[in-house]
Amino acid sequence: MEESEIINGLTNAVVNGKKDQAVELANQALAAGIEPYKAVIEGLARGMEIMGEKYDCKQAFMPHLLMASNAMYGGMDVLTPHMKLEGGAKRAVLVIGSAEGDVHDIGKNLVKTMMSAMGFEAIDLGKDVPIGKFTEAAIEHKADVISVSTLMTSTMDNMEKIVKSFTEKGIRDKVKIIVGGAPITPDYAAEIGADTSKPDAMEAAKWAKEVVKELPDNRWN
Amino acid sequence: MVTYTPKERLARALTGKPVDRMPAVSFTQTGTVEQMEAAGAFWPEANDNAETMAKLAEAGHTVVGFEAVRVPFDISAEAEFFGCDIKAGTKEQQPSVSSHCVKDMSDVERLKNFDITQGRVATICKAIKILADKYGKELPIMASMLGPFSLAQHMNGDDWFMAIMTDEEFATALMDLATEFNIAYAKKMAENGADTMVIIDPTASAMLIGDAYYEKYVVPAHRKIVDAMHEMNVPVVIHICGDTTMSLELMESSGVDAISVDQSVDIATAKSKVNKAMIIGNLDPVAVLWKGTPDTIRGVSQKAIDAGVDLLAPGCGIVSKTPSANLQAMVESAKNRKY
Repeated sequence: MEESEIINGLTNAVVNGKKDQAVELANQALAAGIEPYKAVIEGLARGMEIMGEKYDCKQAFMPHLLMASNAMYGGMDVLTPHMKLEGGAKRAVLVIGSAEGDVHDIGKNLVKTMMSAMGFEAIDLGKDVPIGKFTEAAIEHKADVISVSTLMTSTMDNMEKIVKSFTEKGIRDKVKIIVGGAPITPDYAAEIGADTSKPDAMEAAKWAKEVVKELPDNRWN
Repeated sequence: MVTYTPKERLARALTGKPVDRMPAVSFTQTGTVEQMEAAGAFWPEANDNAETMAKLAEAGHTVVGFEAVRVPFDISAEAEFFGCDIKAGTKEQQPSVSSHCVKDMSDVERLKNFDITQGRVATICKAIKILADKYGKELPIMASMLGPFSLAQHMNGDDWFMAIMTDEEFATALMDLATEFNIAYAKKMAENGADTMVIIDPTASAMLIGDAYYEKYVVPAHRKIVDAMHEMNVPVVIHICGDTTMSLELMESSGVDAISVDQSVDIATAKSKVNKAMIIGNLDPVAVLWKGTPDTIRGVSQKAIDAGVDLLAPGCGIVSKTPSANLQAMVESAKNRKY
């Protein structure tokens, strides 16, 4: 198979939510000597991006997005271990989780998927994450973007505490912080000292991709 | 001039009959910390103990001035009933579902012979009975329950969203189980004195699953519950969060009497989409009711009333830290809407 055929195949596998197909084509990409990073970004991630756009214009819904996400991760699990990171070509790091007290994670998972599709390395802290875990993970993984979700109004205070914990540790300027979830507005994000809040996962990922460019490379040294 | 008891007024308003003025009620959860302190009935105990639950529900009427009493305050008793783990609530936070209990068809089979007299759903029925005995002649006794689609999602986890697409047999079986439970539970609540039923089915949002799946799985399930309630002369409200504007017609097609919408829905547009269902809403529980002031709340309330809202109410569950004065501003605005 031609390189472009495999790459397009990966995109289609994601769009159609075919995990088996994505895994098979990812293996073919490796066998054909295609740069794994290229297969992820131009193949799998492109498919997820298409699904994000379809979701925005109501041509696709949560079931389709989750099927696509599954397929993307299936392919990525094959390709990521083979990605060579040369010199300064470190992938941007996302630390993501649901605020302490909140056990919901579907929105968080979608943000993670979209950011992974944008090339981020995602450190997923899961749901109901203790406040201090975010700074801990940020320092350990030299994070670029922190994403905190909550679906519940009762855990919004914890979101504020998470943002504050970055200031207290003196690392607030080393990361960009995005907060989100049903009750969260950009006004609230500004009020608690986060950088932004976006209406959906696609918008969040686009923002994150742009905003990491503002972060100096050597700030964690 | 004809006057009605709050009970008569709400029953009439929900079924489109003329009333003297707008009822002042909340169709979503009413518990707040100020009411807990005034009534000496606190979360989390008020979620587990029928007397405490009734006491806090009563505070919605005696402290805030809502013209109804309503239980419960959370939406996790249904999944808990089937064996999902629950993250315990606190004074300010409702309990929530933290694990799932249905993986496949064998789990659905295993759960089919449920006993509605067990668990927290029975506690809630008991609280309804206490409230109905005390207030049942005068006030609406409102009960809410998690709807079947959201219950299925609680039971199956996020895989549920894919199951409706890839495994019709399993999805239908789990929806049937959830719907049968909902019908049995709703009947039990009505037998104990509930006269208004609110189905809260946030996960069923057509925004999340699309109209096609909503029509296939949600409408028939809601219709069965609505029919069962109508047989007992209990009007039914459906609450789904998010921008449901484009799906209101579909939501109405299950036969619900009223649709509760959140702040992302434009009331005038919503009114134009429905045939005869009442439109309920839609004060933002965070930005308006919690963070706002009585003055701003009166303003936003008036706007909703001017846009033609049939029943002024919070757009979603009231935040526990909301000041009573803010809720009273909404109550007052509703009461001032005379016909």
